[in-house]
Amino acid sequence: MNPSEELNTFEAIRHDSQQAFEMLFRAFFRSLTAYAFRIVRDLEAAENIVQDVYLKLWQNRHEVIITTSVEHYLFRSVRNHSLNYLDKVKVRSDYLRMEMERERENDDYQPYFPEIGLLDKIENAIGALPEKRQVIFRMAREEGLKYREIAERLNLSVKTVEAQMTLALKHLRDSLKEYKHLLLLFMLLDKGISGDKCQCDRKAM
Amino acid sequence: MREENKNEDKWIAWLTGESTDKPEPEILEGAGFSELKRTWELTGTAYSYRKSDPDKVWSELKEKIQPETKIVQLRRFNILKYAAIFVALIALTSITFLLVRNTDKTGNQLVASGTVMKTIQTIAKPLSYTTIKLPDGSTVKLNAGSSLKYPEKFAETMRKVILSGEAFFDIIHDSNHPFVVEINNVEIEDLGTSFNISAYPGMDQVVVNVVTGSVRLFDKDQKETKIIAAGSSGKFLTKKGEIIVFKELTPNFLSWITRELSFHHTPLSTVFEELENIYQVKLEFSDPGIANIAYTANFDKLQIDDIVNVIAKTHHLSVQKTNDGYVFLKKSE
Repeated sequence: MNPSEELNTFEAIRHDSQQAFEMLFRAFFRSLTAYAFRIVRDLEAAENIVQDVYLKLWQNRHEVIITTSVEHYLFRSVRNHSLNYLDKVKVRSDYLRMEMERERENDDYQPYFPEIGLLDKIENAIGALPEKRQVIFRMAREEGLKYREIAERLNLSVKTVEAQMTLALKHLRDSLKEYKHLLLLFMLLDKGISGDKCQCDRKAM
Repeated sequence: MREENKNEDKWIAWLTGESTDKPEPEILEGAGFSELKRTWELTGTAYSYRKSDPDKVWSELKEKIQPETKIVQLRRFNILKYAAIFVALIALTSITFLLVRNTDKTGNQLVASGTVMKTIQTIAKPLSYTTIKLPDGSTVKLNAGSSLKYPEKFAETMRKVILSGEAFFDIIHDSNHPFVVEINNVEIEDLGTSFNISAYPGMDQVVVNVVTGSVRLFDKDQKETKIIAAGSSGKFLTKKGEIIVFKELTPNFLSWITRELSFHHTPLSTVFEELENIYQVKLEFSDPGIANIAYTANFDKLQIDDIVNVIAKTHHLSVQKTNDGYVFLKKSE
């Protein structure tokens, strides 16, 4: 969706179009969920947060005033809801706290429109890890389990889990290095020198 | 091996939220940590992007917004309270029709109940649009040089306005008092939703773009009548008296208000027509070949002289200012 399509869609939503609302929902749902996931690290919570943001938007559609863009508004709302969620459940790691401080000043949401090709490459890289290492990594990354919980489930020592996590992440770093041109995009975005928006990424959605 | 990975163990434990043992600032800024951090975030983004389920969440969300839909359907019984708003954009080829209308039919057209009523005519400023508030509280944005006629007070049975030119209607819906826009011999009736109507100069047509719900497009004697549904558009060919329905919206139909234009392999002749309508300038070209150049670009709230220069540069044309606009020339001329 380009900004003027967004604007037309939002106008239709203000005039009670559920169809337009569904369009807006589908256009940003995955990206917003990925963004919320980065903050809350729980996929179900992330999906609920995004659903909540859309529900509020629908309920307030006649009052809401969007000064920037619809996309910007959605990402902002998801960020605020995600931070509130973390406050409520009181699991806010040191690393997340630092990241979120940074996020407050960061208005670039490009990384959350990943290229489909890159998604496949990441999935393949994880799939190529040795089985035990892969299971451990997925438990930590996807399910958000603590090392101790993983150790208990797999009947391993916490030390082993820790060592496997390090090996997994280093391995992934190295296998994704082959796609340096793709990683570079993320690196640039990370530092906030993304320049013009990469429309190709959006189209890939 | 373990010794070698010791620092990384520590960093990764911190990254994953396992420990609160924060690495030194120079480590955090360093390449080694940054690369691991990016890999960690990237794998998380890829996982959540891939595994999130829009169908599941949409069906839950739909349930939650359903009750309101039922209320909206009740508006027939409680119209003012649940009044919906609809939007219409209308354009007409020339003002001459309006002049004819002014002298003959308009009085009768506007006064459906038979009582004598004063009519108001507003003509928009030459260079930008004018916003008008109608007697029922609805608002209309009227494009440059266009005019709208409406009664001081709407009739009992129907709210009818007469438009010449182009306008964006923001109407309070009331199915007991249908809102009808009349252009030439074509009429458009709001069926409780949002729609846009336009007819570009010299094209002998009225185009309806429906954003939500549906509208009815018909000629005066009701020989030809079509319902146009959301996401589609209808074209009334005024000379043939024929209506064609399209399954998509017309590009840039709101650009005259938003000043945001997007062209995708559009012939320059069409690009010029749209720019002329929006910026109220005359755009000409010296060589007929220029008309057929396929043009692709997005313009976001730019001034016309910037747009003209971008077009000229892209296709190696030269451009000169005229009294009322610009003329494009082939470079060799």
